Amino acid sequence: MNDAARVARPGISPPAGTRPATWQGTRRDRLFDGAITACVWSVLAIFSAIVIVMIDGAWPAMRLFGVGFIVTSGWDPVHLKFGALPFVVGTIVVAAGAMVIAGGIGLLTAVCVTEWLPRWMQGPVAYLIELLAFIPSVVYGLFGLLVLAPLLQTTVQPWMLKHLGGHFEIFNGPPYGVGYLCATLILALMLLPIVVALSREALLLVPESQREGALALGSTRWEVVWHVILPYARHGVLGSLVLALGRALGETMAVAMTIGGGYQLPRTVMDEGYTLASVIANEFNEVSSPTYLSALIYCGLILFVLTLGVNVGAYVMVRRLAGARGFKS
Amino acid sequence: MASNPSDPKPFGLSRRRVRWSDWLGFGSAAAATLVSLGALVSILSYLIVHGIGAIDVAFLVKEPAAVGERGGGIAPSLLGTAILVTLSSIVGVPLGAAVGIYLSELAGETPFARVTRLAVNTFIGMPSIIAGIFVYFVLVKPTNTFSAVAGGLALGIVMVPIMARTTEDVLRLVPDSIREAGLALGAPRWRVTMGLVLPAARAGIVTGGVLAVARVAGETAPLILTALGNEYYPSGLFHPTDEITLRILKYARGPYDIWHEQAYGAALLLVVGVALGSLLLRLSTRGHVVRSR
Repeated sequence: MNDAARVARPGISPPAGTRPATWQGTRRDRLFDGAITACVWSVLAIFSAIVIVMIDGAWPAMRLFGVGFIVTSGWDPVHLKFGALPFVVGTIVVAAGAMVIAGGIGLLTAVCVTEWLPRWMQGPVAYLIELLAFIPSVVYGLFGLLVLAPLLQTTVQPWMLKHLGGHFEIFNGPPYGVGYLCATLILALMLLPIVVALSREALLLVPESQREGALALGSTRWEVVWHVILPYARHGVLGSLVLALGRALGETMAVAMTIGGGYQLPRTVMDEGYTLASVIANEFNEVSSPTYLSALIYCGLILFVLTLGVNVGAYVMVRRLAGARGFKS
Repeated sequence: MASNPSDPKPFGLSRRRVRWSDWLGFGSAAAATLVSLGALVSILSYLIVHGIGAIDVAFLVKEPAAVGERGGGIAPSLLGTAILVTLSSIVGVPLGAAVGIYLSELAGETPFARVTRLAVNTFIGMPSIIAGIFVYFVLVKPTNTFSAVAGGLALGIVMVPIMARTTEDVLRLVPDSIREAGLALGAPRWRVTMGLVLPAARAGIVTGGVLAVARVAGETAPLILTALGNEYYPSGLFHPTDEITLRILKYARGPYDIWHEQAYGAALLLVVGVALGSLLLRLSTRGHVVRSR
């Protein structure tokens, strides 16, 4: 199509009367192409500038603390000793916990919506759940801070302490309400609509003949789901989970509002702490020295690399799998 | 009904296990759906129950009251939200749409196009706070002030890859026959793109634009580093500006019950606004993102 669009081909002159229009067309084509290409270049320039600014801002801290920053604990703005290990661990723990909860519930919900509900209910139910995606993260934070945290503090955490705390050290923490548990639950709630929407799309792409074939062989409805539909849609489902993971790693406000804040490695599910994104949001406007600021930017750079890696991985994976099945996008 | 081991069984399961797994599978799927719906209902009902009392005319048109006092409103935040959304759209929509048009209509499969597509797809997942840090260094620090322009730029940067991706996706849905028809009539390529392809995909592009705007209207993290927040109306575009999510953040973290009530009220306004917008869009386009004519 694009080759055909190049109107000017030497040796073939257009019919009389169309020459001015064609000439004008090619000139405007060049103008149009130029304008669009300029926009593309400026967007790419902004993207590169983001990378450069992040590295530049983190440079002082990178020189001071080196790569060891990532595996060192301790965050002391007074003595200017910084190590991001608690935040890296916090980011991974909260994201992984939220992914397990949201992945399981979201995938089951998508299966229920596409395979089980009567057709007239599928659209509305899916739309209602996807409404969760329209709720801004600060509202999730508000809900977590004012509703979920008090609930955890007054009922769930005392119950955990009483029945589980004696046996498992991981449940033997201070019942403050806010903390890792609260942040993980809120984050799971935020990821839920993403997982449902994207894996539902993947499930809808499974051809009807696959279902009919398995049913004709005598499978029950659940066997169709488990042995036929999920394996067929696994690439799309995996893609949705990886995209949700990228979102989970980078989520800032809802986590910043519900994780409490703390500079130690987590020991129990009730501890307070920080993730890479939330420590920046909560501390950026209170920095007292250039080194402190640079250490925060270094945290941002780690987060940036982490999410970019996940997203590139998801993109390459989805593309390769799509290509393997004969679809070129 | 008695299970006979010699029966042909799908996937090697005994009939009893088959029924059990069927029941268990769909039981847990139904339970998961109920949990998902329950989460939505509980959040919305909390917002409505606690927030509806805060919303009245004064809430919409007055400035915030003195700290912890009853009364007052969030008018500066609403104005700031409008300013920031406008500024971010000015940055994000044209740039994003141009990149989308480039990727779908002009680029083909050149290496440069691949790099661009990869960049767009990875920067979609960039945590928005990174955009905030970027703008802090390139605009807030040099001008020495937090400002609406800085906030708008940060939100615009968040918007660009979202807009680019939806535009590309929608344009790819336009059938090639439309382009071929235009070219066969002797129309130059810019004319085919602007006069045929874009109008055919108009509904989808508008939807993508509104979704991108809705997405950034709820962003808070980059604004902490750029727009900062303000108790009063902003004195200009290069002054600190409030935004509705910054207001919700401040009130949610404050110690006063009246602040919490107003935070619920503001959150209710925000959610209803965004949801209504999306619902209207959905009804007006009826799911058709591309119209061939």
